[in-house]
Amino acid sequence: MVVQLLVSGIAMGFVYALVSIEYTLIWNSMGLLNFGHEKIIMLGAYIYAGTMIMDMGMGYISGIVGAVFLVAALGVVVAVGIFIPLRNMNRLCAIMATVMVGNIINEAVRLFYGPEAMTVKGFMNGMIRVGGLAIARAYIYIIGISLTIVILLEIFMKKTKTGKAMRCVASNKTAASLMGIDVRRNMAITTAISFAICCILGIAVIPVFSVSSTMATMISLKGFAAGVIGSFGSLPGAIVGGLILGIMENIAGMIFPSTFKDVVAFVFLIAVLLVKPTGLLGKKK
Amino acid sequence: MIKKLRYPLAVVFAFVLPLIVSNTYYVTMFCLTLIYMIIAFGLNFITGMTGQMNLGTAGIFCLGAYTSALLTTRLSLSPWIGMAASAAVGFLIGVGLGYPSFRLEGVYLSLTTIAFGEVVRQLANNMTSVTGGAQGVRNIPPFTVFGYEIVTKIQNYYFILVFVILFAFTAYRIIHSKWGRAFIAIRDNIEAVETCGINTAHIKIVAFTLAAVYGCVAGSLYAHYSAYINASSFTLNLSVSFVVMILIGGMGNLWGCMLGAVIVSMLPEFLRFTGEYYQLTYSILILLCIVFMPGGILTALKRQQK
Amino acid sequence: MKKISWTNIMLAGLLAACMTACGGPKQGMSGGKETQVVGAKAEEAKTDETKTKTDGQGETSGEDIHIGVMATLTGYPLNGEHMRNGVLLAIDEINKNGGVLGQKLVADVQDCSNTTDIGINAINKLVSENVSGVIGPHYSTQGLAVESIINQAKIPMLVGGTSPKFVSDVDNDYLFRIRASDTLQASAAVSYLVDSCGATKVAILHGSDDFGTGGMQVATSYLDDAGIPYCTQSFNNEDTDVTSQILKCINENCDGVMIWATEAAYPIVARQMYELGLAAPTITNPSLAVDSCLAQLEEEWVEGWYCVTDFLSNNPTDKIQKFMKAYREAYGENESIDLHCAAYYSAVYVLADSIERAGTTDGEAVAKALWETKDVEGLVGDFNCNADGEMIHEIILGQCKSLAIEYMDVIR
Repeated sequence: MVVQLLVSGIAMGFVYALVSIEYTLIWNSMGLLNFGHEKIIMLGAYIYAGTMIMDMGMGYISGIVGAVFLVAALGVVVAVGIFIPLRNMNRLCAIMATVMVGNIINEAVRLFYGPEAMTVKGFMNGMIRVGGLAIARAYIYIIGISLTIVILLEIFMKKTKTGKAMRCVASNKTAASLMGIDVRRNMAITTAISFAICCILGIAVIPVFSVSSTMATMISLKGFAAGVIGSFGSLPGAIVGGLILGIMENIAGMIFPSTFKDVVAFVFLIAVLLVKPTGLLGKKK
Repeated sequence: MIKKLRYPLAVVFAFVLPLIVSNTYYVTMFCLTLIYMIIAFGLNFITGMTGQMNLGTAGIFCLGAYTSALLTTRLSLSPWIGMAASAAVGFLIGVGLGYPSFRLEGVYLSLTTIAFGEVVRQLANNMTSVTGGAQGVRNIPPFTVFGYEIVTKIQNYYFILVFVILFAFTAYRIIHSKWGRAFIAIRDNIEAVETCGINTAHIKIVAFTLAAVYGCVAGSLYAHYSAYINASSFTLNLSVSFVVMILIGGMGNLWGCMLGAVIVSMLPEFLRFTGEYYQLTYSILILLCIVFMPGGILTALKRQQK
Repeated sequence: MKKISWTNIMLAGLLAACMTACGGPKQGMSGGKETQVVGAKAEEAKTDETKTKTDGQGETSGEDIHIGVMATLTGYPLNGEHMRNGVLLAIDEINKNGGVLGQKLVADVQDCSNTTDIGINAINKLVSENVSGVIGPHYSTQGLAVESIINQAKIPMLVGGTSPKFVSDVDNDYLFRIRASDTLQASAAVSYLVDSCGATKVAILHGSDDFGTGGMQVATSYLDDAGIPYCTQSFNNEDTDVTSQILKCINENCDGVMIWATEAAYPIVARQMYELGLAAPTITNPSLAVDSCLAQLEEEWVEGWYCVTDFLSNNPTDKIQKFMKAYREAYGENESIDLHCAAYYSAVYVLADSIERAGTTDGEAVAKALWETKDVEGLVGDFNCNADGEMIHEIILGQCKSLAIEYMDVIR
């Protein structure tokens, strides 16, 4: 039974890890925390399920490509229109602006797709039995997708010119612009990648959560927590934090009354911040 | 002349307002706006002046409301004792939240406060035996003043107004005291403050404590005013609204806090004529406001005057 | 120094201007007349989308009768749109048949966002616009938050909230419930599980919100009386994983499961129950019978589950099929129709009936007529008002077969 809990803990952990990777990208590039990311994840799922599959009748794969492309394009628009002008402003303003962008997306989705939750039938569904264990096929896909994204991102950041430029911008903007890197363009690309990851994440969780306006509320908060618990701003830290959080809350759900597992997760976050603010993997300042 | 008179003028205006607009719909809105003003005054110390992002205000508000509500309904204590207890709880959380704030900064602090708010909300919702769970606390008794019960909305309005004036006055005095200057100094340049030999940790804790006490007293007022509370009101969205209040009015400025509270609590209501689109319109207006008037409406207007 | 004082003057002036600007429209609106016009116009705009030839058909005269509707149009969980559609459809039909007391009915729909404060504002707005009755809100917490306001304003309110607290905690002469209460629903569900499915140990999986805990309390008190052991497990609305809850139920060797939760929980709970092998006979609250909820489930997850519900869209009776046809004509062929549409559609008829019998739109008289409501035909059962203000005393029992709920029985 504990093993069963570990399985779902690990799967949820990878979801949290993906969330924290997605906002870490924007954070590193612009020093901006995207509090609207919950709504972007939801938007990705709605575009995929509502527009690509139901309205246009696309195949699963072509639908994913279409949705990711659309959401990434939206990312460029939001970056150019809102995030980039906001980055030099007071951080408070910037964060609130991202919240409002999220609210606008939320309302627009409700007006456009209607209030009803939906799902994509037959998409990554089913399960696998290993011994006495039941593993949803979607969990395996989620873990696979997360690992692929992390590896691709690592390669992209280390090997390509754009990726190197992104890392440069992340560590020092002034130096980057002096080196002739177009910081604004770079930020737009980063936002687009981050939004694309949100969209993939939204699509990947459709079989487990269904598509609804609040599908990403908890995972987005826990994603923040995962990032902090691991090491804020680092990709490996995000995965470690996500896994620790996912497993811990599942075990906690077994020990305490199950509704208190979120409380345990957040108390753990506060505890980690107080004991080691840089996160479990972080270096001492 | 006008400068000297602006405070009395505002007070007189506030006192006359429900006589001009006596419709319950508006008076209820005014009451809520006044309660939010108190919270905004408090949040102003942390976020507006000290520059520390606090996204757990709903949790503070919730604790204040529940403390007062539970003491008065379960133990049949007077609402005044409930309010005093709320203030005491506020003091405790203020110190508790203030402690991490001198180890943590920026995003870390905002995430800690978010976590705090969520923990409070979930506990209020799930500790059924203590808090009544999701069904909330009902029949919270009203305040009594000299044997009179504060029952109607108009009575509540004036009752809360007295508190708003009191808290505004206190806030004004604090802002213009050495604490107030220290708060702003921390926001603008913390290293400089430290080299001056001021204990920044102490100052931050003071700011958090003030905010928490304000928030908890507001919570107590809210509980006795609405007579029914449940945990579903005190979400992260509410915390965000409080930050929007002080952001949009003008940070670090009491008039800004008041203006922000008025806008955030009334604008959605005035947009109701747009039907289904009112939340969308509201969000867009606020976003435009933030993007084009980043220092708040008052700052923008001031700049234009120059 | 001089400069600062000037800015201060400016500030003071501005603030005064802002506040008076806010005060301006209020003053106008508090007159009441103006807002009614605005409300009616907004309503016309809204209903124009769906209704085509309302005007001129009903031979009505004089002032309109306004009915307030509190719907969750924004926020979460969203079902206000269905509720509004049902209400508008009923109003449309009534107006076509000559209206009420020779006057036209007009709906004034306000969003309550499922938040206490916004709900209170919405009800105050409706009260200030002198509506003759209020339909909604759908959620009990909202209903509990606003009931004192309608009691003071002496305006009858027909809520869809089913919490037992409406009876145990509230003494309100203007509060009526147009759906079978949880006391009836949950005890019907759990007694079916025990009596007909022979459960000897019941697992209750419920949402931690007001609705879920209310159902759980009814069920546990029934089981306590019957001396049957049970285990309760709750989950939060935002929860995305309920493995530990289900494993606990499996560990307890439960042979009957009752689920009491809002629609959003079903895709997760049903899937994980299937995966983890909690395969005991299962009975649920009406959420399972909501079409949009069923549409998110896989057949094997819920095959053979039972549910109690107010309304089944595949119920072959005439009145239901007629309603289905009218609804689809008004809102489109592919619209899903659920209990929210049906219950509030019927609520309008109940309210119209009592206004007609009262002969006036005065709240007190209408409430008195509502208390005397007897045998008004509705889609969710016949309306008979009892001493607690409960109007519906029957509930449908259905079974899920191939992702459709089949009618089994009516429990009274």
